[in-house]
Amino acid sequence: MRFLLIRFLPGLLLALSLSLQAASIAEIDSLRLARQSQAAFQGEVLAIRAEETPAGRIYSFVDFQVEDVVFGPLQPGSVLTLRFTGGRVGDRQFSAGVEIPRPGERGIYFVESIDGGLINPLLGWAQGRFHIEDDGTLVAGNGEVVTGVGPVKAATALRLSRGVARGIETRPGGALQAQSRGVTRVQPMTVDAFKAVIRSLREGGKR
Amino acid sequence: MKGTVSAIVLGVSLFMGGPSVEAAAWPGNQVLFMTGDLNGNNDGWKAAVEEAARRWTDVPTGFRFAASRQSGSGQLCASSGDNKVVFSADSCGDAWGSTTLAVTHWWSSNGEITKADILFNSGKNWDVYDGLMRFSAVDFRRVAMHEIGHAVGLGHNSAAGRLMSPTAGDTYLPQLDDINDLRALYAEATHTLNITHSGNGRVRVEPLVDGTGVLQGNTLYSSGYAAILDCNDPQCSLTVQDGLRLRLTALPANGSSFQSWEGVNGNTATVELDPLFGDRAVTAHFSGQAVDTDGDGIPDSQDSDDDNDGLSDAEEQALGTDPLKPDTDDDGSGDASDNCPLRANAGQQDTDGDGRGDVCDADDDNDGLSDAAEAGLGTDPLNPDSDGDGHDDGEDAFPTDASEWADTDGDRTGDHADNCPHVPNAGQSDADGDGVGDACDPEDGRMTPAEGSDSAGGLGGPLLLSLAGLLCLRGAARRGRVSGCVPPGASTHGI
Repeated sequence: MRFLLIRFLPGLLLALSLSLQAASIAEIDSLRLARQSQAAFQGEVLAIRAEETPAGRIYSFVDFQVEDVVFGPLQPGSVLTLRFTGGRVGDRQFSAGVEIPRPGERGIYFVESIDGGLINPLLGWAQGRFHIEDDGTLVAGNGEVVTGVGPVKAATALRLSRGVARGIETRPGGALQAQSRGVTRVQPMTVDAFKAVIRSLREGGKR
Repeated sequence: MKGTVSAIVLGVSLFMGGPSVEAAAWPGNQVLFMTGDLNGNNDGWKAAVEEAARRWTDVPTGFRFAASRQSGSGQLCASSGDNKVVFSADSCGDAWGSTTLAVTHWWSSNGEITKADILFNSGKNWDVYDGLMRFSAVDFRRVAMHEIGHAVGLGHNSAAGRLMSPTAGDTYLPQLDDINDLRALYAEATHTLNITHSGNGRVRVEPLVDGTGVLQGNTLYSSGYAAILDCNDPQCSLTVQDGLRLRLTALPANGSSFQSWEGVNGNTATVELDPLFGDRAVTAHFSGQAVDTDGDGIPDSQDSDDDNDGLSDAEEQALGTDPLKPDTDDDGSGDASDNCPLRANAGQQDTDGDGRGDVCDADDDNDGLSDAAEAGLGTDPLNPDSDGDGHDDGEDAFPTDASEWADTDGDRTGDHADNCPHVPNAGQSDADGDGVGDACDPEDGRMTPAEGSDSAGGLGGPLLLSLAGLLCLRGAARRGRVSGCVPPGASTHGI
């Protein structure tokens, strides 16, 4: 149990933190995630600073160390600053439901626009944010472990975001742990395999 | 309760470690939204916001939502002034992005919300309707209800079926869990109504405003979208919102009649209560001989188990069995000991011993495959391991083949017979006939220059691993699906 808590606590807390969202976001699919993002990268949050406008709106500027570029006009080793709407200055808070990355967080991020100006720079909000845990486990914005990228079927109805793009398969970490004691059928997807599939999806879109 | 919520949020903020936004709540128990600047061809949008606010108000949370068609004071997107609801081409000066439908901007100080503006993306098509959400136009009222929930401090909740679930596709009204979440933030303005009755009868409770709700235990009753509440037990304890008006009807059983009320003005069987602004107790008296079904000397109106079958009346109500009949299905086994109390099964057969009789057990042998699925597969629904290979049917990829139970690569050839068990190769082709399938055989003599050659010699081991992984990825990609591929000999991930 202690092992489970240690292993999945970050994911659980991530899922809990996502529950603070206060917006209605349309669900997207994995193809759109790969093809409509301006860039995607693996990186680590170095620092965050919050600034308040005269009207009382607070923005958080997040510095990412770019470790690897999945695609897009970024350079490995560079520092990318993205602006997220919302934040806290003193005892004053402002929120538009945007989940702001945490200092020290590592992940894969799909950026809708590098140049800024968006309420949330990540495509599909939580759908464009994947957390990499210390052991390399890739956790989607719904707090579950990524296990694969499947085919995208045509949706029958508009849906609000569940925190993960349609077509990206996830399982609760606890469920994976439970099944590992029996016959293992589903395994976590590695970060490298995930990036390879995303690149493949993006390249497929250009043909 | 508020303390509990704060503790959870504190945990999140500590983990975040940065200037993140914490949850907050309004200092009072009401909020007013101004819709005067909500443009459109008619007042339909304003009416939809009013309806959304009413649907939230009408459930027993104690929190009041209201909408005014005035513009109100203060500026949109500023931290002070009235709360506004608008369509906007941008999100307070920021671009919406391609996926954002609506956003609630709220400001707080010391944990108390001071202002909330709800902005709808005017670049999207909107309409007002029930049913599945359409790609052609987003249901404005549903999103408004969702955003109003955010505006009062509710976050997303991933539990299915809630209005505040991010997948709220078919939910048009606050659900019990939404209500409980809101009550956790604003719980003070609800009251307890205790209803008792003597004699032989029951009391029906109806909220007077369509859609309003009453909580009994963990069940939400409402006149608008759920059953009215019948208080059958001698005493019922209800949770109702502040100010709610209710109609009570005394319903005598056959052979008895209504006599009088206590705690209510009026002596007719049907009365309307004044708005509830505090706890209240009422009693209905019925005449006639009290019924004692089980003859235990305790009238049914005071007996928690009318038929003395060992299940309380409340338990029988939950199970669907008859509280006045000790053996509902007449199969000779009393309701309390019957492993399928609603379907006659005299033998009480329970193959898997799970406490549920076979006649009402969808998986008689508890092997993980339903009986219906087993009928389709040709396996034995009463034998958890039909082929006797030591693996339950539900965990066996080949439940009718004793020699196979796993298919690691999913190519429908079992691992034992598969000439390349970790790489999908449906055809099992093996050009050189060495027993190793071409898909994972570097010696098949058909490798491309880009893949290297068979003369790789001492690099064969690592090359085999990397090649198998590459082929796995490539082969899976051709099928339109890529999941965690495991090369032969590689360890699986530690989860």
